[in-house]
Amino acid sequence: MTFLDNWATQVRKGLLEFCVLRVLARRPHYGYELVKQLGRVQGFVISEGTVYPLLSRLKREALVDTRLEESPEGPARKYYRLTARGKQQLKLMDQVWSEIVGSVAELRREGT
Amino acid sequence: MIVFTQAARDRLDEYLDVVRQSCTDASASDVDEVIADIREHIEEELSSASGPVSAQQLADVLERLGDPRQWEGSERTTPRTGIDWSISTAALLISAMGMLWQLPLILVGYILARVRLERANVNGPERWLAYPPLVVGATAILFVLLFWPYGCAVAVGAPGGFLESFPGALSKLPPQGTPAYWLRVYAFASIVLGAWWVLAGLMLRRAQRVLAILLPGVVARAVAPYGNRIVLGGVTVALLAGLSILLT
Repeated sequence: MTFLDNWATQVRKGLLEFCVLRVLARRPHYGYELVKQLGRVQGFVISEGTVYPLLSRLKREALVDTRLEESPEGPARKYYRLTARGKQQLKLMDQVWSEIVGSVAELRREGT
Repeated sequence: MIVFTQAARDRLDEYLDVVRQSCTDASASDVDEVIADIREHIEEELSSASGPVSAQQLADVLERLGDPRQWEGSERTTPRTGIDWSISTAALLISAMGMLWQLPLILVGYILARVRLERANVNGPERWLAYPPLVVGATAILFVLLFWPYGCAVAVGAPGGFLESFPGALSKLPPQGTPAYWLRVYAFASIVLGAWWVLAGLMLRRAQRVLAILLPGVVARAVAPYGNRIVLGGVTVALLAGLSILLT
């Protein structure tokens, strides 16, 4: 793995929690649907399985919870949705992300 | 219900066994949940398959899911062992001792709680151990940062303090120990306090790093926008204190 590959993987990995919460902020998703949704962003989810332990951890941290919903296509699906704490944390993460983007943009401007 | 060939079934069991082993740091219920999610994912992927799913069909899905060892260490969650809980417990006990007996112990409890929270995501009942010393410590630090000049006033004005050795340092001081004496000492301390607030308020935006070291990130971020109000408060306190000295 080249330096660039390694760096890009680390950046994406670091942002995965934020993106999962962002997707769930729109509406509840079941695991498979969430993985496919994230997979649409080019190069974001390298291994689809990465998302499941992360969802489990977010649940343990009470940022998301789950509920079973009947599916017309088969067995009931487990939907993940943001909790009030998750919404609150996401707001703070948005704030931190804006700060990071602003700071990096400033550094890039200074560097050119 | 998806039907697997025997070869596919064996391959799936083998994959999930490795997942289970690589998630040993998580609690059993979490591992079960991850495995249930992965099973659901596989069944969704293969739901359109006609007939029993072959090992090759399954292999494609597993390849997209990724190496079952990928979570080894990377998704390590808070191990709920005695040693980790003991840090939070010690923080709470030391902080309680600090409130009842020796105030500096509050700082020790606070540092322990911060170390614990820095090193792990503290959830569940442990929060009730780690957060109280954090809140008490942060409140104490904020209080000291804001009002330290009054503490100095006590030390300076007390018998045997600076003012007893150098009585001419503050003009027109009433006899030592009288209420009027202490009012005058506190008035001078309020001028120092006002000047400190002005300085601190002006520095607040530039001293974010220092503030983040002293206080938890949430508190530091909450205090940061109040720089202008702290400056205004400082000017008001200093002016009122100055007026009280001039008029008495």
